[in-house]
Amino acid sequence: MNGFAAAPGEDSFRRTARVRTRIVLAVMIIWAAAIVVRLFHLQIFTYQEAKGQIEFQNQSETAIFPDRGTIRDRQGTVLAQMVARQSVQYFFSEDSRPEERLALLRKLAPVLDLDENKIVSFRTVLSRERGSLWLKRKIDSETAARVEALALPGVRLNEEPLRFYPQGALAAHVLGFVNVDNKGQGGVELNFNDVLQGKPGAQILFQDVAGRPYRIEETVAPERGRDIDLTIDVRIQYIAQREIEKAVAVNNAAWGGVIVSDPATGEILAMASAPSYDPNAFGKSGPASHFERTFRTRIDPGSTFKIVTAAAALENRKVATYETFDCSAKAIDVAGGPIRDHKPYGILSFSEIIAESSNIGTIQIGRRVGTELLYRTIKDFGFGERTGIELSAEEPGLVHPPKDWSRRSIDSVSVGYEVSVTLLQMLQAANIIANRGIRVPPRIIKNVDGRPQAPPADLAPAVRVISSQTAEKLIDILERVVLEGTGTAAALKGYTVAGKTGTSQIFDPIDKKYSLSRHTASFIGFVPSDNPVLSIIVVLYDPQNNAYYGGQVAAPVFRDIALPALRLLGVFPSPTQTILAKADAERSIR
Amino acid sequence: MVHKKYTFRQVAFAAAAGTVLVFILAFYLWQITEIVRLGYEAGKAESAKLTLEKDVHRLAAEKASLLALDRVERTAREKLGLADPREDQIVYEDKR
Repeated sequence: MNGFAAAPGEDSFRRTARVRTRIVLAVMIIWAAAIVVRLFHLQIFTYQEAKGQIEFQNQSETAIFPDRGTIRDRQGTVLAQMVARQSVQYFFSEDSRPEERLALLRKLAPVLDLDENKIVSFRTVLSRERGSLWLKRKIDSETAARVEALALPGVRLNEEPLRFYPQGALAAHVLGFVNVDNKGQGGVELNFNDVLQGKPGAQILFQDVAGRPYRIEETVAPERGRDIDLTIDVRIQYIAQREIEKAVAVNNAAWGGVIVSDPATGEILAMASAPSYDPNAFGKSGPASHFERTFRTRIDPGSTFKIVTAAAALENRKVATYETFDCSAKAIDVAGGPIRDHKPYGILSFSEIIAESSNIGTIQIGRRVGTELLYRTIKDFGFGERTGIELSAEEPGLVHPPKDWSRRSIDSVSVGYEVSVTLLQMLQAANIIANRGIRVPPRIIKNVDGRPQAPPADLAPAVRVISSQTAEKLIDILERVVLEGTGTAAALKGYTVAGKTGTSQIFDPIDKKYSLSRHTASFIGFVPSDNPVLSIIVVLYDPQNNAYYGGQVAAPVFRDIALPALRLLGVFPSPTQTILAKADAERSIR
Repeated sequence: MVHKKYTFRQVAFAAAAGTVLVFILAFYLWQITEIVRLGYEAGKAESAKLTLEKDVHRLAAEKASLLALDRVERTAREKLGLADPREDQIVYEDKR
């Protein structure tokens, strides 16, 4: 035995230690094996489920709104564009209770102008375990800075594009507006929503355990919308809108509408309805201002429609311009009530009937034309069907087929009753005469993404409706309307103007008859009549300031729009023009 | 234990190789660091560019609204006292 020899009982101690070591080792091996098995189970069998849970907890996919395309006028002036604005979003998770979340929102309330009702309305969403909600969208930069300064947990500012109309209310009804998600809600914005809106992108928002976003990863890039150039000339649009708004106010009218076009191409240079609204603040505008009056509202055209009756008579050789008619009758009974002249005219020639806008004379002409021919001419002029302009919800108007005409319909229709038309249809009719018989459909889209826009499939092709001889005769008569007839207030010094006034009684649907105190006043014309560059229709509905005749209230608006517009287009007055036109007009009646 | 004796040449070669390796590694690390740093700088520049582009866009929109025709007319008439010319004050230029 030496010092290293085992003490008595040592073998038993070693054995015990060995056994215990083995037990601990076995436990550790089993524990490690269990971990491996569990990891294997998690990684292999429940991989998809675990991944889904992780993604749910820290990732959320959101859409990236693309920039809408810009809308410009024919010269490149921006009418609608996108600007960046901040929206306030609140992210919440398990680390806060619903009461705490509501308390946080109350801190934000004065900055975001949220009332208690609004805050309480968030209660349901806030009672969830986690989530997010929009508190206010598209706020101005000052408010955004104040929100940022509060540095509230989970409150985040996100950039969003806002549709901005730099010209305010100008061409509002043409442009339309968009909702909070930048979807078109009217006018070009609605009709060309697919073109303008682009394609949304997508992004993944990575959030930490407290729901705070820490990284944004773009997965699909957004595609910007395409730009649209309109045929509108912003300068002429401004003049037209200013003058129609002024006329509505001065004449205390219910509403007014005006369209200015280039008759040769059918391009709309201006299109305005009054009252109007600012699409930047659509929600704050009154409902009366939302109505579009030029292609979505029907009117009884009244005497402006006599150009169609006259065209039918001349084209079908039912009358000669020098032929005379007895217009001394006081009234002719038609459906809805008697139709009168505002004074007894006695004997008038065909030209004088149109120039003086005699109802009695025009009815005699209409009777001579007859139902079928008059109806066919009305349809050839494009009434009773949409013009095909590239704007949504165009009103087709109303023209009854001859089978539905009563015995008196021929008289009513001849003088512009029992038919409903839009201002755009009336302007198209005037353009036919200005174009010497060719109907050119109106257009308002010039280019899409800088390329000329192909005409829409339903846009009617240019067609001859009346002969050039008939058109020339009508132009001579319409010049006379302005020179010495009912439309002298539309005369422009140094320019030859051809036009027609109209005053129609408004049909009262309750009394089922035409009102004696409510009227639609209109004027339609083109200038210079020998080579027209502008055609304009002006309508004032229910003017209540004493004057209500088209020649009194609508013709001056025509003049006030046409003169500056002609100057802008570089069409200057010629001192000889008025004299020549007068001579032409006199020759036409001989 | 027997230690092998290395020649001076071997030691020098090993030291040189080690130094080169250290330099290569240092260069590699420097390059990685530079790439990351330049990446950050490029990111910052890109972000600054985006901010400036947005500023330009915002200013263009502001300019457009300041040049809105109704505002221009109001300013001309009310602040500057301008008025429409009379017919006899207009001279038409014959460009032919």
